[in-house]
Amino acid sequence: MKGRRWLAPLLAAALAGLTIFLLGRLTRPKYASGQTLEGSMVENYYAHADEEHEVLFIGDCEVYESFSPVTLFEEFGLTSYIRGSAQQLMWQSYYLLRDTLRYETPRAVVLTVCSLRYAEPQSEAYNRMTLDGMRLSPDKLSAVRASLTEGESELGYYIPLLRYHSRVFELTGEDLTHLFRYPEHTYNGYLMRTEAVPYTRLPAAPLLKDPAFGEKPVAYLNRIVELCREKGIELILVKSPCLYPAWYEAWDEWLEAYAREQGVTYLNAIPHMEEMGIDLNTDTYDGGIHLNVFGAEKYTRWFARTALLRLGLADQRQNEAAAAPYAALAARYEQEKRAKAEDGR
Amino acid sequence: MTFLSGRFLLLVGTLLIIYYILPKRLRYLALLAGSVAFYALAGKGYLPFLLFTILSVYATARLLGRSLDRQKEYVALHKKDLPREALAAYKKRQNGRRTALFLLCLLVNLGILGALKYTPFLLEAFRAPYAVSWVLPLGISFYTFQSLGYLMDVKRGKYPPEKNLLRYALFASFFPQMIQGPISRYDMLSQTLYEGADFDWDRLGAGLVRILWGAAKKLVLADRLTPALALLFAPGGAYRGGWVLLGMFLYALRLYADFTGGIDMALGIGELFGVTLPENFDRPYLSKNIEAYWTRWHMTMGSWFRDYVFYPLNVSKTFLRWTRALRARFGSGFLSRLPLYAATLVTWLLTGVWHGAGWNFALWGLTNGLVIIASLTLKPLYDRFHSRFPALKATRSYGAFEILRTFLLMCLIRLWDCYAGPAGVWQAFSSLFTTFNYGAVAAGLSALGLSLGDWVTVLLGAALLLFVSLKKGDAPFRRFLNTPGKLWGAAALLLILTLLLGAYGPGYTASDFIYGQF
Repeated sequence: MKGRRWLAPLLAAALAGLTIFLLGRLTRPKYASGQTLEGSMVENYYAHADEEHEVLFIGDCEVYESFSPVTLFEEFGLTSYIRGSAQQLMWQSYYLLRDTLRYETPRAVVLTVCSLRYAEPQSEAYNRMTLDGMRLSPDKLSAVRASLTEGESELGYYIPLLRYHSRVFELTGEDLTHLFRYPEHTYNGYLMRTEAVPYTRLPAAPLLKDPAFGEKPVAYLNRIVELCREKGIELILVKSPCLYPAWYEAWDEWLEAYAREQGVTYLNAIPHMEEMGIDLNTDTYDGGIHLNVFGAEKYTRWFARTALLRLGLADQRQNEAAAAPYAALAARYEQEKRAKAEDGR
Repeated sequence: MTFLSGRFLLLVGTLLIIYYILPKRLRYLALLAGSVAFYALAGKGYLPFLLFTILSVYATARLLGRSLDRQKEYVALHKKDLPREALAAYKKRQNGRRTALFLLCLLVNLGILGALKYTPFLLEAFRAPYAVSWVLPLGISFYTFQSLGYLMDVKRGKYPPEKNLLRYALFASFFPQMIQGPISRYDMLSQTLYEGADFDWDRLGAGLVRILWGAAKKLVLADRLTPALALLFAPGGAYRGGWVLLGMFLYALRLYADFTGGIDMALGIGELFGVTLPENFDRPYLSKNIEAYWTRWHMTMGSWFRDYVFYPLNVSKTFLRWTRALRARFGSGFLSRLPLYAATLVTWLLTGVWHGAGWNFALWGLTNGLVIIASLTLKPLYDRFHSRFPALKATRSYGAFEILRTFLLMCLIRLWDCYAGPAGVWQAFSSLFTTFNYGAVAAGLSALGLSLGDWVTVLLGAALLLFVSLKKGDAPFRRFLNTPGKLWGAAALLLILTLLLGAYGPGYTASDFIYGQF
């Protein structure tokens, strides 16, 4: 025994490590119910990473509330996944793209440009919703470092117990149910909302003092362009049809020039809302800020016809392997849509 | 940089590896390098102050030691050929020189400490037309006192001065004791500081358990209470009467958990390197009177003031002459003890201002001194009472009464810590007897920002601390943790509990130890 003095410390370290890991899983927020469901979406992807996705949508609420992968598959035969989360910043999108490329290489990446407006990290809560679900990798480390707000602890992103330990007095059954896997609320990353809250009035757009985007988001946009070029991926920059926060003409002009210079596509969907058939009385769930499922389906159809079909992507509806996950997905999708519509939600 | 920062943990981890890789004779150099790195990382501009103290005290101690050696040689050489008076005159001359040298070093170092610590306060107190503000070098009160204690011991010939500058520098700057002590004595610390301990898993485990026990006290108990106490003691006096009483008890718990937690961590870190730092607490809240309390709370500071301020003052020629004169005139009564009381008050005033620059600190010190004097003065009365009821003192209930009385007294004295200015302290104190809202306190506990889970944790934590104290400190637990499995299991359990139940993260500043500011 004298010669094996290291055994007890080793076992104790292993036991402590395992317990801390499990307690981290137990105490982290599960985003299982209530209004905030977005925090589970980034992790949900890994359960679908072995499926085939020709199109990868990436960005903030302008992707996960605006594009319906089910519609895209059912009507156009295009397989897709959305790696989006609430207020996902440009550098987070870059590292999530790199993270995704570890598992698959899509033919096209659709990136929402709305987050170019944010030059610096905004809030810990949004950071957490994007980064907590990322698997540990060098990309996660870089994403965390790029995202930390003042006073945030980096270590808490790798050892969740350090951040969420105070939830020990607030645990519910949901925490145990979803101990090892976040609940899945989305359809390949699309978060369905069925309510219809008509557009009436939105706050006036504040005066744009400096039309230039910040250095940091532009640098990461450049890195995304470079990465897609390197991997032979078609990149489409998109501004989804949302009326608020305001999208300025100066930004639009800058992006058009940028897209020309980089040889990528840039689409601003706002002027095409009528062409899509979007009715702001019925197709938005919050008075024009985000689309509901009916608006998202219209926008998805328009986007597929305008931007995706011309890429020559194959119709996968007859491909059994690619189509397999969509049967159950579509059934669940229609069921939720119907149920929520019947509930009046 | 403090004990609970990632950088500190990284520093200790790296240092441990380097320490045990190096040959034994060089290991103290790793500790010195680690101490310098710790201090350099702790704050810009701190290092020159520490360096000055090290160099000035080292050089002065060497000169004092050389003078003592020369004196011994001279006396031995001339013992037979010189008259006794000539030798005495020589010794007196030498002693005078040493005293001058000693005082110069003492005053310069105390001057630096005083200037840095008290100038902003004094300028404000005397309404100077300008103000200054700066950050006090980390641990300056602790390393200055430790160094000056060493210097006084060398001057008294208690031990020879350390000849190796690097070894001395390590004694003065050993990093675990820099944040909040303990204040070590050279003759004790040097026994383990330089020897280069052998690697020992059991000692490593014991050190880790001590560190984690301290961290648990700090994070689970002390820091959990911080927001509630900030509310209770907020300026404006919204919380009076029963809230003051609650605040007194919670503050006592927080201070104990915070300070003993920090000291446990310092001692545990020392243990990782095989260095034995002195204990600083001996279950002080179980003391039966205030004198006993002060021999059990912050013991190294108390003994420092006793050995280097109180005793020298009380047995100084001036005080002895004063005592003799008073005895001749007034006999052995109260008045003849005036010099003793004066020495007590001076010692406690200095103890108070050592803690910080502010009237409250001075008044806190003086209150302690006055209570001790009152206790000494009334001792004959107590003795007479107990001689009439001899069985009473032996009873458990009387012992409990004495403990509770001392605890309450110390809580009341600590009101100086909690409220700004004498008016604030008086209002809080008097409200204990004039505002009878004790029922509302029980009903309104949730208003302090602590959840039911928090209160349960605090109560269980306090009960555990009491249990450990009643079990005569941590010695029985050390005996219980007598196998590697139990030892390392305890470390793992403490780590998990601290991480799970600790009050840290947003809203808490876990790294700020209360005594770190002194």
